[in-house]
Amino acid sequence: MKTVECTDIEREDSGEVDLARAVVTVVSVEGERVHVESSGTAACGQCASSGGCGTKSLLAFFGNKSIPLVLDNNLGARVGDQIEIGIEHSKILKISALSYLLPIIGLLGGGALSSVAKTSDVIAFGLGLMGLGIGFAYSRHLYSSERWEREILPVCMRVVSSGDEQYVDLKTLS
Amino acid sequence: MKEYALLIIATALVNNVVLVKFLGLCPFMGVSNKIDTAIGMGFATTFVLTLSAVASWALNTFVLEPLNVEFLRILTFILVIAAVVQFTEVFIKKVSPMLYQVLGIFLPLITTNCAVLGVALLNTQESHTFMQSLVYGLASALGFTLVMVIFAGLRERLASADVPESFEGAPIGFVTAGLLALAFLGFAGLAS
Repeated sequence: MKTVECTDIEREDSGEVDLARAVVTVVSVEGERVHVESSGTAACGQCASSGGCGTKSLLAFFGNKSIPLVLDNNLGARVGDQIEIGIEHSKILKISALSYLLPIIGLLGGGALSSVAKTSDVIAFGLGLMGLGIGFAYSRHLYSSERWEREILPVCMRVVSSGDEQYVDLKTLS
Repeated sequence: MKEYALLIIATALVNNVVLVKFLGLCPFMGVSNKIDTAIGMGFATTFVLTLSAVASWALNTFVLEPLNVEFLRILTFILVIAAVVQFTEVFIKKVSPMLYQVLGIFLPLITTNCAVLGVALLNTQESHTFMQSLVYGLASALGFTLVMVIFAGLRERLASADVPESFEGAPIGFVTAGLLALAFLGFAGLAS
């Protein structure tokens, strides 16, 4: 097994950025882009641990669903390679806040409107649902924009193992 | 509005769902090793807990009570929570697969968070209105997130502290949680 380091991991080791990492498998390569699949793992990295929070048992019950992603192939990875990808923790928090809190703010806004107008519970529920829908729609609109797609895209950090075990160290070549 | 402000303070601080009602202790201990993870889990729990509180209120008010089948409350609330979690999972996957990769992992764990069911049941027990249910659910979730983040901060410091060998790991974690619960008793009497 050959490991290829890239500049991003060096940056991480120097303590400049704090990254959440995951290992994914390359399923196809299209020019400069690479299609990868991951098996959902936790940010704390304890999914496979029996002494963890219990996510291992839940994953065993619900099935370990693979998630397709399209990334920039900055490592020259090939089909079958296992690569480590990473995303900054600060970005994760920003994404979490926007995606989870926007619909809740909408719901709360709808509820507050009904409270101010002193409507019945049925109308309040309807207004709350409407606010929730607006929050969801805005959240979806936000993430469908190209700028956000780039913002939340993880970076390929290194090739953990090569599919054909004949991987050439890109740094050595350059 | 004053009524809702008092409800938020009473729920998030005085009757904190984790430190006073002792609900949701599994994620509180399991996902509080790092502040970032604790905040991520807190956001996800806030979303699911608030939606579940509202959905279970609607189910109870519009279906269970009119049909006189309140004995099905626990069963149906569990189904509602599971449905809300599944809906959230589908929504996030649809919005962005990357987002799902990053955030989706907390969702199955929330299904087993007893705080979610506890808050839904307390809502019906207190005969809350729609807005009260919504604020109660949100404030419970904010209280949960607050103690998770505080506890994660303490555990990050404890990781580098010189703790006696027999106290390392979970034991010192429980001692710290106990002290944190005592500290939160200081809010008693602030609002009821």
